[in-house]
Amino acid sequence: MLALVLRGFLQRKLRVLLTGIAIALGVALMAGTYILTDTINHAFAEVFGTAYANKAVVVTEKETLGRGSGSEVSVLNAATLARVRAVPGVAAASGSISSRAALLTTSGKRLTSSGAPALVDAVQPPRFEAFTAAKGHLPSAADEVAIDQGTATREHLRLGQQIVIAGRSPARDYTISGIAKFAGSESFGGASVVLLVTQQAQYVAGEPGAYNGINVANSAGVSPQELAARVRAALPATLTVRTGAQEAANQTSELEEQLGFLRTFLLIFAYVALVVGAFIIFNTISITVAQRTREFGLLRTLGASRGQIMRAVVEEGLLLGVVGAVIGLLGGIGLAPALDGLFKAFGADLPDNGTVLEARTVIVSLGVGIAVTVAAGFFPALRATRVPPIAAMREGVAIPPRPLPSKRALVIRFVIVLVLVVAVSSVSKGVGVVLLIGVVIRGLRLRYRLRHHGKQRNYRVIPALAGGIGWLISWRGITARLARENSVRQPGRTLVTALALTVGLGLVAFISVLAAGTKTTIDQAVSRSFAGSLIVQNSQSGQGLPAAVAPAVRTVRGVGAVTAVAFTQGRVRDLAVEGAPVIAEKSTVTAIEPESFVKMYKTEWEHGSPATLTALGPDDTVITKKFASAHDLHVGQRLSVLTASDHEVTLTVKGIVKEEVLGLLTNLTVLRSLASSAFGQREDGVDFVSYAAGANGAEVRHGINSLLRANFPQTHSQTAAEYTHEVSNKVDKFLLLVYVLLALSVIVSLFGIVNTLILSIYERTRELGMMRAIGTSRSQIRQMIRYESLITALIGGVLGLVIGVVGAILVTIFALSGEGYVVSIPVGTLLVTLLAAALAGLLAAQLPARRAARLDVLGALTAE
Amino acid sequence: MHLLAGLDRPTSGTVTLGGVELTGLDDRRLTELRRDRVGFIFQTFNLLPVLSAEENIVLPLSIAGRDVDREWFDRLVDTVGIRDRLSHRPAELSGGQQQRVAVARALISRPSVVFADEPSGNLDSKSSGDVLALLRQAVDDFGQTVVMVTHDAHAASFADRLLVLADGKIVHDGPAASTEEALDLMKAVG
Repeated sequence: MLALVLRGFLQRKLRVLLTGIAIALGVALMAGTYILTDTINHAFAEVFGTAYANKAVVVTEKETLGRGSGSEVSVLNAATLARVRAVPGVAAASGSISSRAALLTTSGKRLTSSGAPALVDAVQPPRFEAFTAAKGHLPSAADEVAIDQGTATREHLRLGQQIVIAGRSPARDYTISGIAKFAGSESFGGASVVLLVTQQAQYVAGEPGAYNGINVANSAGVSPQELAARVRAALPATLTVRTGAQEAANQTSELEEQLGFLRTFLLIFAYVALVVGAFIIFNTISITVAQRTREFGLLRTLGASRGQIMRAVVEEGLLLGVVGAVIGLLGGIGLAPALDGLFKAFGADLPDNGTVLEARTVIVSLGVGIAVTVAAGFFPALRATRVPPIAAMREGVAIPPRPLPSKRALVIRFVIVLVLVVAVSSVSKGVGVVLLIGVVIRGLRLRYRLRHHGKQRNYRVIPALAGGIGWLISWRGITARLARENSVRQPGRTLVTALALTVGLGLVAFISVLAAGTKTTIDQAVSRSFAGSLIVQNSQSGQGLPAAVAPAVRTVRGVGAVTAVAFTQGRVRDLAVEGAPVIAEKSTVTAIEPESFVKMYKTEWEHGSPATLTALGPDDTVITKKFASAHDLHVGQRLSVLTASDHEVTLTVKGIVKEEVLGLLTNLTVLRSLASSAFGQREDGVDFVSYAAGANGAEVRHGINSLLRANFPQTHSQTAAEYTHEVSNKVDKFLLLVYVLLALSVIVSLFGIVNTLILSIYERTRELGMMRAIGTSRSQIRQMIRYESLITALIGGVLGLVIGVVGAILVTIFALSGEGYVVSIPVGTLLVTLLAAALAGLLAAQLPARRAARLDVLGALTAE
Repeated sequence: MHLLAGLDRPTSGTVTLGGVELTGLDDRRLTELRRDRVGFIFQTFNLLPVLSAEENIVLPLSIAGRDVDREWFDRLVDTVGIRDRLSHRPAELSGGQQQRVAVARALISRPSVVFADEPSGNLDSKSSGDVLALLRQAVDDFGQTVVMVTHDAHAASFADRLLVLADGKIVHDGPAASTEEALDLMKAVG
């Protein structure tokens, strides 16, 4: 039987290819994702390994609450360093300080690609320093800087050139004294790195005299492990002591965890494409099974068993899966750099040193691709087994519907399938989800059949939609009319073909509605709550604002008030409950300066008033209504909060605000002075500025901007309108990325349309021959096929839009409205989506239409 | 017949239809010629299953984008006798009815010539007689030229002129004949 299948394959190369691609694209994205993330992980593992290769032991701060975001004060200093040096077996020790800062040209242009911050490190003694000078020398004077070769080459930087480094202290100019290589390679895993002398690195970090790491070298005869134990014993327990190898492994695994998000994000799109591919494979094999009814009848007549027929079809699916998965895997290897490029284009610069293809990537990609294909082909195969032998003798023998199983059989089957799905899910969640969707659809169908026992299945949606769309193009005459009728001839087939497109477009609609809602929500939130004149932030979102900005801006003429808002986090215990259980592991904390804050930020209160904020003491806090109701907290209750710098503070709840999800006040609100003392917070998140009464706004803003440009070039000022505009641009940028990734699913569904059309044309060969014989021109035939495709695509588009929009509205109303989200329908985007569906349909029709028009009239007339 | 109808191209010789030389025409012109000057009746009816009987009849005009001459349409429908079936789809019609729809379709554009390829081949004898009578009527009442290909001597007896082909050569060309005479002629070529 396998030989038969293979021969059939060779005879239908085009179809095999088209169907194979349906699954290949999803597999390619999956393989590409694994390759990309493995490559990045590998690059970083190598980088960290090299960075710590010559450090026997490393002392760092205790990582309370994910410390390392770098916004807390460093606790290591010269005294710690002296204690380390005194430990026997220590050959040398050196303090390091690393922080993130903006790197700019003297004219204010950011030097790092897409504005990501650069690492600013204190240059280490040669035995610890992983960087070596490729040109010039590493910094030895206060005004000197060395920059990594990768950045220098990209930005055309030369020795002797001036660059600006803007960290937590006012920006300073440095002269490039050296171009540095990292252990022989051009850059530090793609990140920009600058080296300064220790005292300057501390200045940039805003922490004179402080270190955030101590590198230790061992004397001969003392192993790193032994030395680590000795150093640990000599230092307080609040510090972490690791060997260099441990520290490298630790940093690598932390990074892998962060990259896990990227992997999951991309894999979601791969699975969406695979679901769409499964639809197409199901449809294609279903159609071919129907077309080969006679062939199966003949095989049955010749004595083939049902099992053999089943195997023949399943083997066909298997081969298809193998072809598709292999093409996909190869495509994935090519796609990985493209994905990397895509993320670069959208502002995420990731290191990529060579391509890493792990065995896992190959196994998972091939396995998932083949499994999805075989699963999708299983149901049509089952159908093929029901072809009666009589089908060989007569034309038009319908495959009888499956006899309905008894209720008991159903329950048993359901349990078995469920166990299988759970088993598969434990191996691969994605495949599990795909299977689950399949099972649910089967279940619904079975339920439908049970209810409409014995009745012919009738479709309503497809003919109605086809009729509506057909009516719109009915002015195009007979070709449009025929296209409409042809598209409802096999409504089930049209539905599945259209549904493949629906998946992609539905998600586009869903996300675009949610995004529009988010933009509107932000817009409303800002205009409702912000009462100041300007918002000052780091122009790279997510980066902190130096604490020195607020006092500096206060000195500008015409500025009425400035209020700084900082964000930190803490682990919250409820002291009202016995044993003081932890109620929030990492709770967000907002730190404010109440006097000026209440003048520029409005919020609604559940308990209390702005006066509650102005009366806030160092041991007081205000919480949000959501946090209060989630943990059953009340005014007057006492909470214990462990801060990021390992302090324990006790706070009393003084008020409850009805802050919405995008509000500035997070779970807990405390005084900014408390945040800088107990939480070790030394950076702000945002500053609000209001102009003095009677001041000329334009002049004041000009003054502020000049100050920022000179001292804090990494920051900028925005009006509320500018701010919301920027946020909405960011949302749009993210949307674009999502659309690009969803486009893959749409492309997959196009192959489905092509496939279905080609197969339908094959079925209608004689009809087309007759039409040509009685004088239908080639262009009319082409037009007819194109309209048919257009109708199918638009059915998919309309269903997608309806499902996506309704879904987004439901999600907003039921899940997000409590947090203040509003619904907003992006009519323009949705219309463009529909237009794209129409264009996609026309595009998909090109090849089938050409084939149909090229049919030889005589041959077609005599075709069976 | 395929050559005469402009469905195939001759390797040698010429075909002239209604004064138009077919041999040199490109596909577009041939298509237009078939649309406007030729009617087709097939053995397997070849109606479009998705269209009603009425839509099938006017299909050649729809393709050409022309208006239907209602008077002519009514006359044809009454002649072939399917007025009460106009809104039905082919699947709801008997074979004889389908072929009568096909006859009306072939005549609707008043072609120069109608080619009928075994028009009675797939019909029972009653329907077969009806369809052949119809074709005869088209010739007598509408002055329509009909070229019919058949293996059936009875069908052949309806024609005014009888050509017998054997292995691609005309072996007989003569006036109308009875069923028996036609049968003898066909037997002669074996």
